[in-house]
Amino acid sequence: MSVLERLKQVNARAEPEESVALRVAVLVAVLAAALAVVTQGVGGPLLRLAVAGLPGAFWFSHHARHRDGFWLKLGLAIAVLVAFGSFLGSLGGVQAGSLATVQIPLAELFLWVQLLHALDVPARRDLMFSVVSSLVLMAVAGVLSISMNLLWYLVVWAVAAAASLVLAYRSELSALPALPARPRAAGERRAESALVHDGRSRGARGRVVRAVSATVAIVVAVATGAFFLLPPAGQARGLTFPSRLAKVLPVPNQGGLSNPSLGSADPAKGGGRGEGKGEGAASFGYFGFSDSLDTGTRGRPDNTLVMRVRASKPDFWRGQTFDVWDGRRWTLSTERSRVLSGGSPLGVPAVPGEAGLPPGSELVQTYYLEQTGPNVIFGANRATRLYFPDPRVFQLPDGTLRAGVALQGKAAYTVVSSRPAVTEEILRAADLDPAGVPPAIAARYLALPPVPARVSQLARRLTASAPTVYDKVRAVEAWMGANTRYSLDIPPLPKGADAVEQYLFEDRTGFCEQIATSLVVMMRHLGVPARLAVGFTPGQRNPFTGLYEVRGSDAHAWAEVWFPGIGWQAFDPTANVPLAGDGGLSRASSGISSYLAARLPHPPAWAVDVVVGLAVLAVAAAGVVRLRAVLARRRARRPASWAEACLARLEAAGAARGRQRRPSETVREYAASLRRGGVGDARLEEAAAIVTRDAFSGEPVTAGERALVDKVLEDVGGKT
Amino acid sequence: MARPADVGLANGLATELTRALSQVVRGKPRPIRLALVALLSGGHLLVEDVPGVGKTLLAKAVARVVGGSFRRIQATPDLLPAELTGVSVFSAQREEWEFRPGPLFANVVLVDEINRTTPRTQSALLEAMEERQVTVDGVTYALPDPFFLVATQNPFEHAGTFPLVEGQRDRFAVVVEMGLPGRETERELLLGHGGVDSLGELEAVIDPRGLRAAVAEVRSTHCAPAVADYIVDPSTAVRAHPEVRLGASPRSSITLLHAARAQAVMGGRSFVSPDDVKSVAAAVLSHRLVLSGGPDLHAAATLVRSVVDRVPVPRG
Repeated sequence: MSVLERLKQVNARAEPEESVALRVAVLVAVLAAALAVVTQGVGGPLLRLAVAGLPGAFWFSHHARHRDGFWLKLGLAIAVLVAFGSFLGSLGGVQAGSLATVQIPLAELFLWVQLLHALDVPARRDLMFSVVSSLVLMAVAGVLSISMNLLWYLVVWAVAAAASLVLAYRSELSALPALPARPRAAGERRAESALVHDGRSRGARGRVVRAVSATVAIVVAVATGAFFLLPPAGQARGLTFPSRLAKVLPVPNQGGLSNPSLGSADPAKGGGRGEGKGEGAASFGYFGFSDSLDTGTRGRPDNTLVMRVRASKPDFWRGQTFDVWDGRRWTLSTERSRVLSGGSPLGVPAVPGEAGLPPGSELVQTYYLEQTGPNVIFGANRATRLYFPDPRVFQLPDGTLRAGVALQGKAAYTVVSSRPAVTEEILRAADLDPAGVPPAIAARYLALPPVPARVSQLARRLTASAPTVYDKVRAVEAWMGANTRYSLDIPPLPKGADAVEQYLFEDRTGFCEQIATSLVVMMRHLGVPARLAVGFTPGQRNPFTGLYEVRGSDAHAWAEVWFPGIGWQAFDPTANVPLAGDGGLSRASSGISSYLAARLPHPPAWAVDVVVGLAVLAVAAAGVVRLRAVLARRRARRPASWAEACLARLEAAGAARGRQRRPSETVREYAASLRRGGVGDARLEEAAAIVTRDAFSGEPVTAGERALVDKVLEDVGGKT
Repeated sequence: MARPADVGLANGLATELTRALSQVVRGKPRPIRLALVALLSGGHLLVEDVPGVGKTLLAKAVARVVGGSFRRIQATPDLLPAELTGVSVFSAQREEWEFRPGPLFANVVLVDEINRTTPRTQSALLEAMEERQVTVDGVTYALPDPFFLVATQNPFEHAGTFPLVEGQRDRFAVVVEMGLPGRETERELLLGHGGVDSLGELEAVIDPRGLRAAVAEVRSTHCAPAVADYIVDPSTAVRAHPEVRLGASPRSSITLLHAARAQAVMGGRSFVSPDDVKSVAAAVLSHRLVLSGGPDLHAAATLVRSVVDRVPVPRG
């Protein structure tokens, strides 16, 4: 036997699959999975073209299902080898061992194999392989996905895959030889078999529906249970983290700040900075992402999704900080920035005041931008490494980072931060010795314009009994929480007024800028280094993707206080961000209730009443139906009569001898039959007659007759 | 078997009738039993089979053992309805119309070869059988009570016959097939035991009054609700059977009940048991069915038995 013949033998085809419906279902499943992967950004134009050709490939393999296909297989094998070669080639460009970089070429390779395979799926077995590999593609798409768009592909895929499983099973059954019919009396066989068959097929459909719905219910229940019980995806322990730029557009002022989303509202441009007007309201256009922050500006950005953050714990996504306060406006004392350049990842050096700090817990954050924004690089406090698509970034003296290119939508970068593992106790223990503040810190973060007397008195009064810096901060926060109100609608800041005094003593309402500024000013007044940070609160965690969805309205300003040995620690009475030393998320489903509450439509109050009322009615109706059924059953289950008990005993005696009573047999017939079979004596038939009379004559038999029957039944072994 | 004391007249009569008939109609316990079921339940009897198996003998014997008036009608194609019911003639003496009753005015009427007469004449029998009255010239005359009609027919003859339509078959409570006699019976017949010759020795064992009382007693026999269900169940099942084009009517359930009562009384019981229903179901139901293959008494009887064999009996 030649090698060629052997190969042919091994590759002998199974019976070709004739069901077009099955093929279409498999095609839909494969197409949904392939599109899901492609829409995650996998593959180039050639691959997209190949995906578009999938229906053609299925059509071809349906037409060629009866052919031998040896040369086709050979061609496909070569094409797969080419794809593998191309995969190996694309690996040459990435660093050895960086899994995250491998995953995209690997997904591409897998997609190619799937597409080539589609040209040769003659048999059911091959189609089922396609379905299984489309499941793998869906999993790949799920790993790569950062948004909920995948849901639609998943739904289409699940329906098509389920349909193809059912169709495949049906097609398998139809290939089996039909079971022979049970022999019957000649006269009734035809009609009866028609009757029985009809009944069976109806019953079978009901059984199929029941089985399918039970399976779906179990799968949903198990999946939901797992979702609510499993811990969330842990800290990413990667080798290379995602970073990408759609276009490289250098910013006008290298190292400077550029925020195209602010437009004419940018204070740096001088125009449109109206008193009390909320101009910087477009999505990313929070006015804090600028060279200066005017606390007289009012209004906030809208609810647009600005970025998604993949992180294992929530934190402040800090953009930049301000150190110079003039009573109304925050600015930066120096724009001098240091150029950081090199390969990815980029080590971020420590800045003065943070050097020599012990390494904290690592937090990996990947930012997927959805809108064009400022060129600040967000990151949880103290970035140590940066995965950025552009080789040059700028570090400001406060440690925050800026890109040298415009950060547009679809850009992505990853920041690894070292968060000091602090708790309340640690912060209390790391108390400040006023003399121990390093000069570099003291120069930048203690300077203040003249503080109004009322503010000064208040700061001293509030903190008089606070032993540590931490307690002082908490005391000021507590007072503001109790005596002022958070509101986005506050009156304009009068000309010449001190923003802090206005907020604490006149308006008594304010938002994060006023609150955080007041805290910073009072801390500096007490000799504690502090500064204002702007950025985003964590946003809302989407439990289905595991990513934090950050919206324009999540833009925030908060205070940072310097602690020796710890560095800058964020304080904010309004945002609920846990300390790094506290526990993180507990379940994969964390945040699902607030996520759903924010997305589900808010029904009017009466609708809730109606729904609750209907639910109560439905439960009550179900209860009534159930109760009636129970009562009816109880009524039907009247106590067995003496005659029935006797019949049961006789049945037991007959069954013990291998002769069951047929349901259509009367007591007397059964007794006669048993008698012919040698059971008991002539009295057995007499007993049967007595039992019959007791059952149907409407009058009970005499005690003597009962005794006779009991005796007879005892003799034949009818146990009571 | 213990026989309760309260089984009265009808049971005794049934025993007597059975004994008398058995002397003449040899080796045919089942046709005799079913004939008596028809008689005692107050219904009519159709005896069906090939010639020469004793159809007419059974019919005549039943007629003889029941006392009272007896008329025999030999059905022929030229028989006219008026010849059965009677005619009004003008009496010259009394100068008025006078009704001359036909042969239907008798306690027992034997219609021999009923399918040889025309549908027109057959239909005249309908009113008489069902309503126990005849209408001549617009005047209704009640038939005697009891009125028991026994008909015979040969279903396998086709030339010159008019098969009974479904409505007429329904009027008969019971249809009996004679069946061929066994070898021993045939030998006995040759030796002069029983048969037509002994018909003359047969004497009436019951008079019209006695029969009326017996029928009344049969019809008041106790039937438990569970047994009533069991009577309805086979009828319903038969109607639902896919091979049945025309099922048994509700009237047939009533007839089945009466027949089962008669069977119970003949068995010496004062109540109907499922056994009684079973033993008369085929004889009462099968001739009422029209199968999709056309009327076929044999197939219908097989079908009824198979249905009865699948219906669960009441446990008590």
